[in-house]
Amino acid sequence: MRSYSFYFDFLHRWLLLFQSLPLVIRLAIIVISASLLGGLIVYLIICTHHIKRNHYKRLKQQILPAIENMVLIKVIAHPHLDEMPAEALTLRIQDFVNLGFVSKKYKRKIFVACLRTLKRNLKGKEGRLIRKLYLDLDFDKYAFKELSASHSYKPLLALNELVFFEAPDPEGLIGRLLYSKNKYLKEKALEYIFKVYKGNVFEYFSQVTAPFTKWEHLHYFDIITNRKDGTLPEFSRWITPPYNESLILLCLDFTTYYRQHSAAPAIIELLQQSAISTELKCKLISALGQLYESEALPVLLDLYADEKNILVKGAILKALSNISGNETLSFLKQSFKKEASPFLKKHAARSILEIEGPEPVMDTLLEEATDAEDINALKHAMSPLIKYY
Amino acid sequence: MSRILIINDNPIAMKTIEVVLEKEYQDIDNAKDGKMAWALLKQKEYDLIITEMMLPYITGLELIFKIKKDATFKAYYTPVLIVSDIHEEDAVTEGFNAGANDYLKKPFDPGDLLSRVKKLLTANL
Amino acid sequence: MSPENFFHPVLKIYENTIFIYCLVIFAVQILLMILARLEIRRNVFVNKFWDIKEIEKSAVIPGISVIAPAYNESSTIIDNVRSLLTLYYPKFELIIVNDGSTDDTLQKLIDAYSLIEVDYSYEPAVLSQPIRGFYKSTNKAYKHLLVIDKVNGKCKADAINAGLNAAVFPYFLNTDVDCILHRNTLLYLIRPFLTEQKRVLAVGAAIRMVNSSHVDGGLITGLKPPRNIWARFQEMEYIRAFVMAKVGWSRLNAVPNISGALGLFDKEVVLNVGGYDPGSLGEDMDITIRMVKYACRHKFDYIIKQLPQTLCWTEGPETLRVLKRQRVRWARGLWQLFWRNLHLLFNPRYRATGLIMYPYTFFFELFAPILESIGIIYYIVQISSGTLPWTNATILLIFIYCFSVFISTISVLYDQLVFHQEKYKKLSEVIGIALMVFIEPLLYHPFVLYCSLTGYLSQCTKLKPVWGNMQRKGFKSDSEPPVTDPESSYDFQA
Repeated sequence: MRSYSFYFDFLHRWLLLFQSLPLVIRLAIIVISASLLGGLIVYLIICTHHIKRNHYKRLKQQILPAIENMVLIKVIAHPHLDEMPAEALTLRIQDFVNLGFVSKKYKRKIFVACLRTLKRNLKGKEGRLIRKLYLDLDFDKYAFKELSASHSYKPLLALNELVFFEAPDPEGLIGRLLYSKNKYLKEKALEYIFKVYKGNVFEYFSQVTAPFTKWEHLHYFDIITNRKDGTLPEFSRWITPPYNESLILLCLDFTTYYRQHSAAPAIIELLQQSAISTELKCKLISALGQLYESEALPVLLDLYADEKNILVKGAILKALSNISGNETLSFLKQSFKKEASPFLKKHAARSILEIEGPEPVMDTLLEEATDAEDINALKHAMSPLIKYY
Repeated sequence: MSRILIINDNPIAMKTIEVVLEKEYQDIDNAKDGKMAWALLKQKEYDLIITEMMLPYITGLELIFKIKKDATFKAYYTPVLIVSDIHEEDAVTEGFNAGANDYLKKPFDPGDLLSRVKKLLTANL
Repeated sequence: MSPENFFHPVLKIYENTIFIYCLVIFAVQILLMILARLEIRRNVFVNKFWDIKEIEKSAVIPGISVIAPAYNESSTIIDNVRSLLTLYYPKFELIIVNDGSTDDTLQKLIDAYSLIEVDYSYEPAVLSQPIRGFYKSTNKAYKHLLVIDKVNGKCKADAINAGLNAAVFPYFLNTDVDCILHRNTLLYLIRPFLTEQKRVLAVGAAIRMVNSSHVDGGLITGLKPPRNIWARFQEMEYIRAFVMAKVGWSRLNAVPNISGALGLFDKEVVLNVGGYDPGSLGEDMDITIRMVKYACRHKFDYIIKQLPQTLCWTEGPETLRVLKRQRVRWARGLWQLFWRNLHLLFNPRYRATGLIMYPYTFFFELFAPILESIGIIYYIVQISSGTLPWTNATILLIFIYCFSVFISTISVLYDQLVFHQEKYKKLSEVIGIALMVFIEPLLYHPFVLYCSLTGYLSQCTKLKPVWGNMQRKGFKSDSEPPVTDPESSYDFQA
């Protein structure tokens, strides 16, 4: 009892001393002790983090080769690979379970990451077999469970994994995410639909209201051009103003990729509207060029006359290289001589070169040219060493 | 007995290619960067070179140009197969222009890889 | 009325102001600490959600122009250009701007990469010194290399402008020939441009010291902390500036400065604001501020991002003389820039930059050295007059010391938490760097303070600018030329 009161008195005296100090000093003392304590904790965290990371790394180095070997050999050297579709093949799951990486969560993560890298390298039957392995080991069940986690990033990463492995979704959980408020969930759900759904997935284009990011653009392009099934729609359906610009840009990429000449009227119509961005304008013009659309020539020439933006003008000159003909050629030569901008001169020269070939016309142009800038632009266009122009 | 050199800086990609080829070919060397590959090419003779486009020190493209520069170089007539992550059109054309015999984009179908390798090896005989 | 009675209230006010000033600094530091943590967490997620491996596989990827000016880099140019040529990206061009080097930099390039002079037509969209020639390689493997030889413009801004005129792609990377880049730099930096809905103006990443690391053929083979004490201090300083401060500001979309050593920019916007300003002493911070102003005036949503990953390593000055010159120039740049852009101060039009970042940096970073030196003088006067309340003064000093040590230590921890970057292998190396924070406020900080004051003073009295270029020859003549000469390159602001 006595000793307690001794400590109490001791503390009490210090507390009184503390209270008698000015506010500034009191605050300072609090901050000092807090940062000392905090600093100590930070050092501890640095150490434990480092040790944990090293441990994880070592573990990975130990078990990754085992998983890789097992999976690669079981998959690539599967005895019945040539006889039946991958979905019908059986893998001895017990072999993989025996590796001992399935039960613990962090080991499972390594396993999944390994399967991902392997699947990124392999397609065809072997790729599908890796997917089957992922499903047979029930990894998708864990991911589906994480999908409803409250953590902000966990469901996203789980969805990312499910989409990557094209996990079947009998309850329509992923399909429902298409209407989620979270834009990333939405993004991935749409990707899933393009990847997995059979039949006419393009109907979803009409439902897309929010603009795409460039990443989605790249991704959807890759996924859809890699799809083997289904009939292609007329992409010109979406090349009209009510649809947002990013969707139009994506559909333009498809029209040129699949050479849908029927899209030309829609493109021309959109091009003649005034309220479109420079980026879209350039893309529309280059799409016409890539479709070799000779009917678009008068439109492009009109546009060129009215246009002030140098980038759009350059895009027109570039597109004209695909629309050969006397009219084009004389127009290009004329703009080559008339334009003051080296950028446009260069593109005009380049397009003439692509239509006519290097020798005849370029030589006469070069002889005619007196202006140093003209000669420079011609030589630039003709140089075989310049890759990007 | 065909001897094959695989050049890839990604260990898993390298392993995958190796495992696929090991079904039919046993004599496989590997290099994890351009410098190492060039040293190997100067030393030994190969029947086929399988390379990635993007490599440290010397890129795949540069390596092919180096090989195809001098007709007296022992690897000059060795067929080259590019197996690469790059899907970009320009890069593919560049690869062929440099003198590569074939271009395979990742992810690849192992059967496809084997048949291409076989084709290149028999054409070379 | 005795002078003592008159001064006493004034001093009291000063003391209180200083105390509040310190509290604001601490509050903002703690805020940045929290924001940086959130941003690093997000970055870890982003790395898993949008895998950079998928960018390189895309068939419709945007191109990037890499612009790297070089001035008297003869000893390292070949290796460094090689490492830039082997960057991992399917579609990029490399533009080396030889900024009127007085040594054989250009000749070495011509020999090593079999260059020949070509006619090159370009739109002079931004101003630069006259160009003497364009060189392309006859070796088709280097088709993406362009070398520009120009008259020396005495600053990096001018060289970058020359590169900008020749660049063809919509994005450009502003870097330096003597910087060593991570091979995936372009993939990491382009990602925000692709994944963000809003328009991204610029993306930067963390920069570190390469002193004492093993470098082979322009690639880092063994990452080691610098052995030289001044370089170690800088390493610590960079960790704090990049991983903590800038990443924190990035969360508020108010990054003060995308470093001149590494930054990926939207070319269109940079051209629209007139390119880099050769008259500015801190051209990298200047361009960032002007881009923000442009976006705010044209009323579009923008993002300027700072990644916590270290993607670039550079040689830090190892002698006090060189370091002083660098810091004096930074200080002058800062002083010039802030007085030029006073209209940003508390201007809601410039959003977070005008309301938070600019006022904070203005009052608490630009003026800090001045107030600090006044404080030191005050202390000295009090000591000499014997009126110093020793206990309280010591407690206040310890208070400031402890807090700064704490913040720096936290930034070392954050650096460890960043996803997927080259890190020191050993724990002892990490702790070794972390321990630097204990002596930093005693040794390095006063030095930087002195440099800042010198810089402000010379900027106020409008002395002739101390360009790195002009001073280099003097530096070289009286010391042995090191393997990589830090002064033969341009400075950039951390």
